[in-house]
Amino acid sequence: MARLTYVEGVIAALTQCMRQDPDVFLLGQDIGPFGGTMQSTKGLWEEFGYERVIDTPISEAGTAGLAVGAAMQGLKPVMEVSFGEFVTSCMNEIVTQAPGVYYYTGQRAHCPVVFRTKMGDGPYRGHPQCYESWFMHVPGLKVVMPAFPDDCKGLMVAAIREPNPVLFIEDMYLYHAVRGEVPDELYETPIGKARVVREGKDLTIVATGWFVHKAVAAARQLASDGIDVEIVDPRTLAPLDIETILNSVKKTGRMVTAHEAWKIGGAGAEIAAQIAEEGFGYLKAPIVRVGAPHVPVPIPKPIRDVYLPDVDDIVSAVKKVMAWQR
Amino acid sequence: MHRLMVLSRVFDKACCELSNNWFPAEGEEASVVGAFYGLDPADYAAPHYRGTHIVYHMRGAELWRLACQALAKADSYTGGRGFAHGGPADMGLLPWLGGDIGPQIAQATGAALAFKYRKERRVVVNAFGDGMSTRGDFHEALNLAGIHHLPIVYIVHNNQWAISTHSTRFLANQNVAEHARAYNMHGESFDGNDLFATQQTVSAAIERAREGRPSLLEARTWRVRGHWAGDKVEYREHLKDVMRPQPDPIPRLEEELERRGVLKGADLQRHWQQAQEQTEQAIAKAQAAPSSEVVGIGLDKVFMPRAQEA
Repeated sequence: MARLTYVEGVIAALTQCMRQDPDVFLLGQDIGPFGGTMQSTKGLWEEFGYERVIDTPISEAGTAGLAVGAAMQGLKPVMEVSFGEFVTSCMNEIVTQAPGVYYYTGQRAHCPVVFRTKMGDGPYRGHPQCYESWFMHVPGLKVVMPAFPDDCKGLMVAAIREPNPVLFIEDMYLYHAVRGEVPDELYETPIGKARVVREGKDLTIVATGWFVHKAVAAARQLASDGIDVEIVDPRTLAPLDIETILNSVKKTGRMVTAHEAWKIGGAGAEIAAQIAEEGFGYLKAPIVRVGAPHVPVPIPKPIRDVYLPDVDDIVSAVKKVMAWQR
Repeated sequence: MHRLMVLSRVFDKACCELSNNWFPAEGEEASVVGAFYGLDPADYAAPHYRGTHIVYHMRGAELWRLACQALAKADSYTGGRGFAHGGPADMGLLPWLGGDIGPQIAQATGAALAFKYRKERRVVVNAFGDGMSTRGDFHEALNLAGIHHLPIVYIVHNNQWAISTHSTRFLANQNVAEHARAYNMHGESFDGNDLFATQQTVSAAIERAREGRPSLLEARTWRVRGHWAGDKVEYREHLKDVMRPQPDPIPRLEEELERRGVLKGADLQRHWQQAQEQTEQAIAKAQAAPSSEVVGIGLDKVFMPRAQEA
C-alpha cells in the first residue's frame, strides 16, 4: 500500500500492465522524455523507451486512427489525448469508428483501444472542458471517470484488459490534488460498477470526478443540519450502474446529481431520466441537478470560480429537495 | 487477373441493378485488381469502397455472401447488421465502420504500425479515392507512416471525381503522388487503366514496404458511371472541358493478352461466360437467403465479452 496522487494511480496501472503485457504501448503528444502534459506519463519513457512510449505529432485524428488500427490487430494501445477539448479533433475515431468494430464486423473483429484524456478545471491557460456526456450517448464505447487514486489504478487496469474501446477521463482538478491509499499489486476495479462513497438514509447524491469530493464536503455540512446523505460515484458512465443508484434511491427516496459539466444535456440529466423512468415510485420529491451554467467555460480564475458550481450549490440543492412538499 | 477484372465488372454491374446505393466500379477494375493482386495471404488489405468486393473475393470471400450484402441478407459477412461495403474482417481486411471516409487511412497505417511493433514482415496495401487526399486524415496518417518507416503502400485511385466535383475543382495540385515528397516516401503516378503498369508499380512498392519504406502511388483512372448506381451524373455537363476520360481497361488488356499470345479470344470469352454464371449463381443463392431482420438488433453484440478474447 502506498499513498499516491490521482495521476500516480493511473501511472502505476500503466507501468504494471506494460511490464506484464508486451502488447501494451502508449501513443500521444509529449508523453516521452517530457513526461506527459501535467506529468501524465512521468517515468514511463525512462523504463520503456521510444518503442513503447511513442511521442506523436500534433495529429489527433491520425494518431487515434493509428491506435484503432493497431488495436484491431490485437495490440493494446493507450492513446493519450492531452486535453479533453482535443477529443473533438479525433471524434470520428472515438465515436463513429472504434465503437462499431465488434458490431459492424459481425463479431469478426474487435478493438481493445484505450483513449485517455483530461477534463475539468485545470491550468488557467485553458482546456477546461467537460465533454463526458457526449460519449455516454454512443453504444459500443465504455466511458470511465474515476474520482479516487485507487479507482484510477484499478479502472485503468480494467480498461487495458477490456476487449472493447474505452474512453478513460481523468479529472484535471484532482490530478495532483488528491492522495489516497493504493494497493501495490496489480488489481482491477470492474468497469460498470458504481462505488457507494458514503452511506446515508435521507437523500442520494450521484456525483462524478471532483464533484464526488465536493459532495463529501456537502455531506459533512448537511450532517450538522441533521440530513444524512448517501453518495454514489458511478465511476463509469457507460455502462452505467443504474442498479446501484436505483437501490440507493429506493432507500432514500430523493436524488440530486452533481457534476462539473454543463447541466443541460449532462450526465446528470441521463441519470435523472433513468431514475424517473425506473424508480418514480420510490421518489418522495423531484430530482434536482447541479451542473455548470450554460455559457462557454470562462477562462480567467476569478470568473471561473464564479462559474463553477460549488459545495454550497450542492447543499442548497439537497435542502431544496428535502424541503419539497406536494 | 483478366478473369478477376471481368468478374468484378459483371458482379458489380449486377449489384448495381440490385441496389441503388452500390458504388459502381466500372472502368476502374485494373487499378483495383492490380493493386491487391501481389499481396500474400498474411498481408493486410484496406481497399477503397469502389470495387471493394472483388478485393474481398480475392482474399477468400464467397461471392454469394457478398451478394447478400447488396440484398441486405442475414448471411452477409457483416452479420446482417453492417454496411454493404464491409468485408470479412477476419480475412486480413480492414473493416468498413462508417460512411465518413478518411479514418480508414489512419487505421490501415495503424495495422502497419502493429506489424512493425511485432517485428513481422507483413505489409498493408491501402487504397482510396482522390477525394480522400484532401482530408486531414490522409495527411496525418502519411506523416506518421513517414516518421515511423511503416510497411505500407498507399494507392490513390484517381478517377477525377469526388462525388459530383471534378478534381480540377478540389485539388490544388493535380498530381496527388507529389504529396509523397512531404512525407518522406516514394511517390509515383502511373496509368491505372493499364493492368500491367499497375501490378508492376504496386509489386515494387510492396517490396519496398517490406523493408520499411512506404509509398504513395497514384493510379490515374476514370469513373465511368456516377458516384452511386442511381446517380444520373447530370453535373458532368458543366465539366466536359476539363474531364479526362480514360479508355476501358478490359478491352485494352484483352488486346494486349492476345497480342502477346498469353490468352486467345476463346479463353477471354470463357472468362466472361464464367463470370456471368458465377454472378447468377451467387445472386440466386443470396436471394434465397433470409433477410437481415432475422438476426435481430443484437443488443448483446455491441461489446465483446471479456471471456472470448484469446
